Amino acid sequence: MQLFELAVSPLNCGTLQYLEMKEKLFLIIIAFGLLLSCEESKPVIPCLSCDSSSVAPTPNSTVKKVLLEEFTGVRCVNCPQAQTEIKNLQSEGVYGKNLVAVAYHAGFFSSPYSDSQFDFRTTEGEEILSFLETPIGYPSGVVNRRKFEGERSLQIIQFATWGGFVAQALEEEATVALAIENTYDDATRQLDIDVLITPLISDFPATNLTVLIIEDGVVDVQLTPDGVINDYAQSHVFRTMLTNTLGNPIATLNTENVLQNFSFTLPADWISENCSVIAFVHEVGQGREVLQVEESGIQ
Amino acid sequence: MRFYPVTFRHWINLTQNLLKYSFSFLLLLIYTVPTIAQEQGTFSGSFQGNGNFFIKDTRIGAANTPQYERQLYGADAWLNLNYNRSGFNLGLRFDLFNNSNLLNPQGSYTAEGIGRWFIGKQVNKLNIMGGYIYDQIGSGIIFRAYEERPLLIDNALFGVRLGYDISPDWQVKVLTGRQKQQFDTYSPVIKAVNLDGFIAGKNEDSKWSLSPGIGIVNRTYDDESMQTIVGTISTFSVTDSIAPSFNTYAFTLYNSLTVDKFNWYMEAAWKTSDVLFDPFAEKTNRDGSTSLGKLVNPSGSVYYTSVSYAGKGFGITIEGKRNENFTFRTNPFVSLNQGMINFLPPMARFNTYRLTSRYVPAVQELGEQAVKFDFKFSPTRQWSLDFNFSNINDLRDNLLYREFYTEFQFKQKRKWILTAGIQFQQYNQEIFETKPGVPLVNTRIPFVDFLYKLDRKKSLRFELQYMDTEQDFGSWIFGLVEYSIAPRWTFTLSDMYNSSPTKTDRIHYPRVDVFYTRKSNRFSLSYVKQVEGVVCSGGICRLEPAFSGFRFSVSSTF
Repeated sequence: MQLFELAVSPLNCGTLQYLEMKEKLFLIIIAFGLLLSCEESKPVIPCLSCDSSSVAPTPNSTVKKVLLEEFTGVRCVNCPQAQTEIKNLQSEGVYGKNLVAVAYHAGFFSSPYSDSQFDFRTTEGEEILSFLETPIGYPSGVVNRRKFEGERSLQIIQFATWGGFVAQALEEEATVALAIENTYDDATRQLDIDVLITPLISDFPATNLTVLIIEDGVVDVQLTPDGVINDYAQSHVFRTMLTNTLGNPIATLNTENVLQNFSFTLPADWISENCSVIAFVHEVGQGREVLQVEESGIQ
Repeated sequence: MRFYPVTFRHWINLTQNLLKYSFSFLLLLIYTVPTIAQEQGTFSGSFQGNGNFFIKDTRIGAANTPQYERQLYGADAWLNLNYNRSGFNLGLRFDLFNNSNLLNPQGSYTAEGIGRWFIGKQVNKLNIMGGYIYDQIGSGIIFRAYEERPLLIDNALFGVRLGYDISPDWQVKVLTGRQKQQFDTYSPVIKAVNLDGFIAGKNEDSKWSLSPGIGIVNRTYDDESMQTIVGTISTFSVTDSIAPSFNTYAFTLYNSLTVDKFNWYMEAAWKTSDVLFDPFAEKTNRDGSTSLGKLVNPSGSVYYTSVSYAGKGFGITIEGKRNENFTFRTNPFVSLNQGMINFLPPMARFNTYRLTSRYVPAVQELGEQAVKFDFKFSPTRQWSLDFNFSNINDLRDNLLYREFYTEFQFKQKRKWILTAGIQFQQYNQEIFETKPGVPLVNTRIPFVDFLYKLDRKKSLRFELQYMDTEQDFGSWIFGLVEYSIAPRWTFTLSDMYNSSPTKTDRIHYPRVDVFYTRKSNRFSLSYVKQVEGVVCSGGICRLEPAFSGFRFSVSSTF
């Protein structure tokens, strides 16, 4: 009502006030109009999974691969959904074998139930959780140990968006190639591992090599959105570290290929067919980023 | 003279240096202002600091965080300084977090620096402000930049605000900037415009008035954020695929009508399609199976109204709200209390007693419909009655929260005050705390609070509360004794005891506090054992683990 009076009163009070009123209205219209300006061009969404021709490139030693480190727990209700998401991302036609995943059972929700068969927690898992910053919630994922633009920390707790961060990391050129050769003796359960590291660029930064073993399909108790179930199959469970927790230094990487050997005897309750070796090269010091990762089944 | 090309890196360095020397910059401005006018300027400020000493207690779950395991100490502090002169308004705040558990109760956060600075100037009818800005539109449903220190929410907009007084009763303001993220900013850009007015009856004895308003907020994704969203959606099956937009708009219309003792506030807000994470949305997996949780792209709405009447000796307030898909954040990768652009008003009573505030419903941004009724009756100065009812359902009419609360108070002049009441609650723990399969928590909580004045300065206060419940941790008893020597000292001793536990042993959670107030300084030292629970501040809640240790706090205003 008063706005209306303001609008008509200048007609009786002189041109100057009328112009001021016009300016005021103009200001308001401009302010609102600027926010509702033109129609935007929408981004193009590539569909990796809807056309077989868009299958991800076949992995080879010089293709960039990405490591997703998942922090999970048997008491974490949304963690099974996160593991399903990782399976989706690792499907052929999405990222396939270019995405390597390891699940550390560590943090707030990882203590076992009274009827759990395994305690998946490990000292190394807790150390890595501490090294990569404790997330604000679980499940949480760290992609290539990289802090992405706009993210507060390395930890990304919105598992539905992991795929987007993996896509960003995969766009980079590989700067180092990795190859793993496993020799496993079923009788003695002795595992010998050769890891060959080949630099693809000169002026390589200081790097470490981390080698670890994961096991798939470990059935045990897990909290799920449908309640606690006893026969949940855990995926890519971190089992043990064959290097130091934060990796072993690779001193000669700048000049030549490096071959490193590891040996390990598998405990009796690990199913060797479900075990894999993961090796990754990563920065040390200020940077922590993973430069390349490789995975190879034991058998 | 030689000219150097200005590259992006130069700009970055310039910005970093500006921030680094912003304190000197503001001091320089403060020093310069006296030459502009002879008017007396005013300094004001405040300090708030907390120190925590963590004592590991695995029995209550106070363990397995860096503080309990190895750091042992943590501190948070805010030092705020403002200066006003000749229409200038300058402010600077130093923030410190050392091994702090505020940002992430399960982690440790260490950082320090300039947490806020701003420069403002009133130029006739134009108000100009730049820096870190706190503001809101309407009740905050489409935009609220604010600070809640207990949860380390600091959603200041780092940008510029212009306000213009079109007339004494009509103001328009525009804002643009990026949201603060600790000592950084989120990348997406936020813009807002708001028109606020006031219309009253012309006659002097007119008893009606209107306070209408309209607001629009726009958030534009940066290329990096969109790249991540597109990268995520590209992994979806065709049926789950969505088409995100760089720009999302939120609109609001609101009005407050006052007629004598009657007031009616209403606000309606809408949001254009926006990419958000829906944990209940069904996703088709690559193997043909389905699971819950994916990015969706819906539009959203909020309808909120509040009607109140304040008569002689009584007051009634009725509130109603319905919101759907009104998660409005800087990007879809943030969650919990991070990156919130807006604020949805909570619809449960704000309770203060220890047990009546144990179960607090966090606002469900994706959808809830709620009503709240509050009735206050005080026929004489001696006694009063407060009755409150809240009911919150999801959009499928499943009960999320229901509360009946009644409180009676009797005051014996200069001698004693008795407050007593009872609260009944139904709390959907499965939804609010994401604990599948757990039943609704039903509580019955009688309480009594008795304040006895020993003399003009000394008083004793007793609290006794009992929570009767079979769910969650089981029943609790809480008792408190408080001795005050006005105006300086307060001593408090309390204990919360799990009288019929369902999860743990019978555990005591004692607490001892000493408060000392001298003029505008306040000190407190507390020994605390606190059970895990939902902690809410200003309507935003999060699950907090148990706490065990000492807390020292200082607050001061000057």
